[in-house]
Amino acid sequence: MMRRLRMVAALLLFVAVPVGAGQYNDIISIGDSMPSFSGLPATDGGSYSSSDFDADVLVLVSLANHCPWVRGMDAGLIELVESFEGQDVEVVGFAVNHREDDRLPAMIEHGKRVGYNFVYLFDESQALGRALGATRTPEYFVFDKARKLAYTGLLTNSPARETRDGDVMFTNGAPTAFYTRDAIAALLAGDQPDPAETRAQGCSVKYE
Amino acid sequence: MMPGTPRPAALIMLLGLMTGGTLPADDSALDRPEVMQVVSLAQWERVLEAKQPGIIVADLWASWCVSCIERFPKMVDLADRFSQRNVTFLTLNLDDPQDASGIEWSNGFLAGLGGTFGHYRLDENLTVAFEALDLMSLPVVLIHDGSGKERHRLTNDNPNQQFTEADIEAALEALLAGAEAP
Repeated sequence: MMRRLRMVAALLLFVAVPVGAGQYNDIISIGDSMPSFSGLPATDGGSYSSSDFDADVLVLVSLANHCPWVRGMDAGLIELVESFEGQDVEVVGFAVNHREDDRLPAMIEHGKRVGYNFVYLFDESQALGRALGATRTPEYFVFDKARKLAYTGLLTNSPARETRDGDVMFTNGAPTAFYTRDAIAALLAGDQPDPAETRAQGCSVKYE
Repeated sequence: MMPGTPRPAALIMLLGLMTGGTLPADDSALDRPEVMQVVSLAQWERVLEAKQPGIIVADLWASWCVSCIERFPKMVDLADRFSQRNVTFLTLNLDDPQDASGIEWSNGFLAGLGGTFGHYRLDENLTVAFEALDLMSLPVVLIHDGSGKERHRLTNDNPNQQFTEADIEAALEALLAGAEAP
């Protein structure tokens, strides 16, 4: 009986309490500075540093080719980039895992196949991923002009995954809240994103 | 759904818990040896309660979690060794109830797995399940002591503290040392 009451109490809390900043990441919190990086190889053959990106809004997103959640949300990510074309927004993907199907050659193939329209970096040292506390793919990190973290978490309120049949399944039906898109728009408008943090849902990142 | 707004599924689950309407009448039904026994969140709690007193290792996984699948052989090895010392190994699958191909794959995978496990599948939307169980990602291994208290939550949620099977083994040895002490 007591266990049931405790569970009811816990559920009451999760129904009623808004999500707060710093809740879903052990390393980085809202307002923290973006970790710098340098010389990371990209799928376009180039090499990039954090200083190469000077847009008003910079979005970093952790990716992994093998991950069904990444594959399920690739279309949404590409659409996000397209939706801000011509505006002062840059989106940069980065991969951390060392498994062969997530490394640079596979990243190049995957990016070409699905039509990635953004810079896609390989963080082989895993230093960027560690500094961001990036433990899931995909996981979004939206930084403002001062490169302070303004939003982190989900793309939308209905994460999508590629099933074993090759279909795309949305966890909660058609998305009705577009957290990352709205966070970017808020920053461009001079406002702070609300919510600032959501519980990312995806594959776990393996640190060596 | 926007944070802070009521979640219908959670409210339904809450009402079920308050009325007891989702709970089975007979706990023995939770111990049937088929590949994956389908349970609600409340029934999962009852499964854990039914295993007391005794140490429980619960391996949370899903068909989409490649690292969960790749590490399963090591869990089988641990289960084979520690089940002889009265440690119960359970798996809790978090495939979406609507993902027929994922569930079918998981059943087939477990059928060929071996090991001394009880296999369960949570009949719950993943977003609700993650919030209710306070999960960030999979795999997750929960270790409960003989009183039913969750003593270890092994996750990959911190890049600098990701768990291995050695951590599971160390946690079990420590708990068993306490349990076996005169």
